[in-house]
Amino acid sequence: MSRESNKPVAMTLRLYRALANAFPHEFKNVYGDELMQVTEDAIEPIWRQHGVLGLIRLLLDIAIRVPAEHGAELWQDVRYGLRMLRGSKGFTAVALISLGLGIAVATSAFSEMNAVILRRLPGVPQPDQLVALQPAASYPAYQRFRQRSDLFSAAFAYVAPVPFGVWLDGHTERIWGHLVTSSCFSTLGARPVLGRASK
Amino acid sequence: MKKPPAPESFLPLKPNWFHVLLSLADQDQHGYGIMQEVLDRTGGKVRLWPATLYGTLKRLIDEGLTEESEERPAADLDDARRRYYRLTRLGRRVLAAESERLEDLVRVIHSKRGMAERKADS
Repeated sequence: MSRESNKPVAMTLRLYRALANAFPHEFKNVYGDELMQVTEDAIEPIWRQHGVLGLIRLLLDIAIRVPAEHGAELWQDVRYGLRMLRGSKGFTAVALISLGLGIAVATSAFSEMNAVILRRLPGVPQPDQLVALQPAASYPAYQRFRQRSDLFSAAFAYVAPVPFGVWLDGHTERIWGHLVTSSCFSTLGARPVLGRASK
Repeated sequence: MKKPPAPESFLPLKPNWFHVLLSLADQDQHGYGIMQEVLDRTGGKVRLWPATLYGTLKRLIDEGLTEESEERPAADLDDARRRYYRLTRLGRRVLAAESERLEDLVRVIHSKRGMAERKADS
């Protein structure tokens, strides 16, 4: 029986060829043709001896090998990279410091943005009605916004971060806070947990 | 020049590696030849499936245990499309070390079996 007339064999070969195409480029270049040739030689005896189960086993073999080869190639690249880095210690140090600084700056920026912009403000009843001016505006500009009641129902200004010395249990602690105008609490609709808000 | 690794550092060998190295012990072979030799030698019990075979050959070449052979069989027997593989000096030493390890293991098994039989007889 010719291979073309044997449907399961022909179909398996087509599938096998498609899977073989998924091998990493280097593996395919070196062993691709040979692999297909050996498979074409071996498939008829496998079919005669093991039937459909043999063909499934053949496909399973390549289906497992393809990701394994990709993994092996990736590992080889990682090892090569590490060897190169070990070989040039100065470059590695500069790269690691730059990377560390970059990550630190990006993380800090995100934390700040998350706290100020992305996260919902705790204790503020309608945070979605708040708008902030970017970049910062001058005090006279703030005064003009405050007067435009047709634009905003209320407005406040703040300066941040500002260091404060707070007297607690007999010693002074330095904390960071905001200097705000007196309309801050009423604009936000927030109430202090303790004490009175300025009006 | 980089010093070649000690043969013992490869032991115990993976079964597929051992079968391929053993196939190449007495002659250069192409991929299909290795597959058939292993199948015949093990009475059909071990089949190196094509993708596994070439994955193994690649590893063995990367580790310096086998290499592509430049020698070709006689023109009437040669298939120009096929690539032939052979053992390197390191590959031969690794095969010898693994064979010795397995022989020692078989000796231990025989000795244990003998002791067990003597115990059963007494």
